[in-house]
Amino acid sequence: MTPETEALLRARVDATLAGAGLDGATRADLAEELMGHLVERWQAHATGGLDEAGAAQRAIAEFGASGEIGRELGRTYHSRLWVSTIGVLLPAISPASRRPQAVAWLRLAMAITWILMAQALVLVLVEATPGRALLGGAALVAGLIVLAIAFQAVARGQRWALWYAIAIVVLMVVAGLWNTITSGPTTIAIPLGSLFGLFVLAFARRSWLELRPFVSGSAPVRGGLAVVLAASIGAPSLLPPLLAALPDPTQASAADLTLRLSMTCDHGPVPMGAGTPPVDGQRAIVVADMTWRRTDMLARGLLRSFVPADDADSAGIRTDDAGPGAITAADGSFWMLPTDEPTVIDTTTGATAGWWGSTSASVALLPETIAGSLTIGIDQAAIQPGHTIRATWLVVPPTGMEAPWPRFEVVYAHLDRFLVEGTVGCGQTTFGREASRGAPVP
Amino acid sequence: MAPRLDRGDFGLLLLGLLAEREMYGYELAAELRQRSDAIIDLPEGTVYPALRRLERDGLVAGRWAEVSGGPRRRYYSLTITGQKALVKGRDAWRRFASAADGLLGS
Repeated sequence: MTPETEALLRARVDATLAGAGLDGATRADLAEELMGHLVERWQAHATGGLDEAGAAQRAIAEFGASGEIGRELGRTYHSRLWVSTIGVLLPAISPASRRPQAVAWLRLAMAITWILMAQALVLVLVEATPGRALLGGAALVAGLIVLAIAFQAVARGQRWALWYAIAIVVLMVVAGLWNTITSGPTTIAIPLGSLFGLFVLAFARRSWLELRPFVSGSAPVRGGLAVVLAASIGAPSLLPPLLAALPDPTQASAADLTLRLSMTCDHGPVPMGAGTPPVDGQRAIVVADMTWRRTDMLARGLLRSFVPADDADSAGIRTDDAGPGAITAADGSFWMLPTDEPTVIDTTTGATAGWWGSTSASVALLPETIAGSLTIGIDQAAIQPGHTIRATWLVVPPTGMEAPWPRFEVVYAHLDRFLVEGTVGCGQTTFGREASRGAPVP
Repeated sequence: MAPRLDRGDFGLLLLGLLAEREMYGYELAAELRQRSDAIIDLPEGTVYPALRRLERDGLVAGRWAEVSGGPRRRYYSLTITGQKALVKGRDAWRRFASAADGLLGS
């Protein structure tokens, strides 16, 4: 047997065992056994009259498809999952001695990306709401696993991992540039990630003639596995906007809140403050009953749920329609809160459930003309499914004036998430509905 | 529609051959083809995953043997467990074949 024929047969043995993912000793043992088979078969054909090359080709053809036998061997020594993933993605194709320097730079970029993704995973798990933490966490864990596999595979000469690494570096460049562009005119951001990524890409481009043969022996990755790999590249980048856009079923929505508004209008004693007896006058009493069908589960994420925070809901009131012929504010006459504070109570327990004047972040969702003393804060701890929190405002025109009865608008902001708004007039009972967010308070 | 051997059936055939004497892979592949009149004509390489699976499961034992003027051979022989598995497998196969014959008719 010539060295060329022996090399041909050995190449078939190597190709067969490449996908089996065997340890060194088992691989060597099997390689000897399979090579012995091919040599003996070759001898039989050569003795039977075939020329050397023809006998080798026949022996190889009769031996069977290398990929199929390799996968069968992989199944013998590994689980089915291992065979369908690691057995396809990780077999060593090229020895480390042939590894181009560019691979080291690509792997450094992958390692940096891995650390950043791990950091993002921790943040998602501790800060995001449960549904988003679960979804985002699963996506990031999958991304981290694929990245770790690609990190190993690119060093072993797998073509898919080379392209995966290049895609990761391209994303690194794009993300860095995007951050710089969107950082605003007053901030100077140096895109270090982009600069490093461009350097790695340039290095890989210059080393392409070494990189190509390094990965040329690997089998292409196809089908569902290829789709998963491709998805895992972009998913971590798309995750933040995707998570923000997706509703979290563990969190209450505007549909879970019933905002019932009622208003009574009469003439009666109007409180004038300490030491001054009440004076009869026009009074509008606006009552907002807020009933939650269900409440948020860990609304501020796992970690932040256990630390104190000023996360309250806000509600506010403003004149919606002062009525025909109303005295305008410019004349110094408009409906206003007298000295008495609005009350916020849980109607089931009678306990105070909020306070006058919200300073929570949710107040920023209210229209900008509802601020300060026109707002109330609603304690998050007081919000319970089935309970009704009642806010009551006593609103009056300036002392001694008779004004047309107005309509009032009541707006409720749940954290930084949604607004529910409604209007009410004298003797009416109405219900609020979800509204688009108003301009934030400066 | 041609009947096909699954992994278990193939392993059983190998156990049947090895019950006669210890053999190595090449020899088993040749025996399978020859004694089935080439009806069982699988790619020869498929013998090796099957043999390794039988060895992993303790049904056969392998040993290397030197061969003068040629590459070493890995011979396989039936273990006690393999003999028991062969008896059970053979019975099950015969019941299955008999039932299949009955269903297929003449």
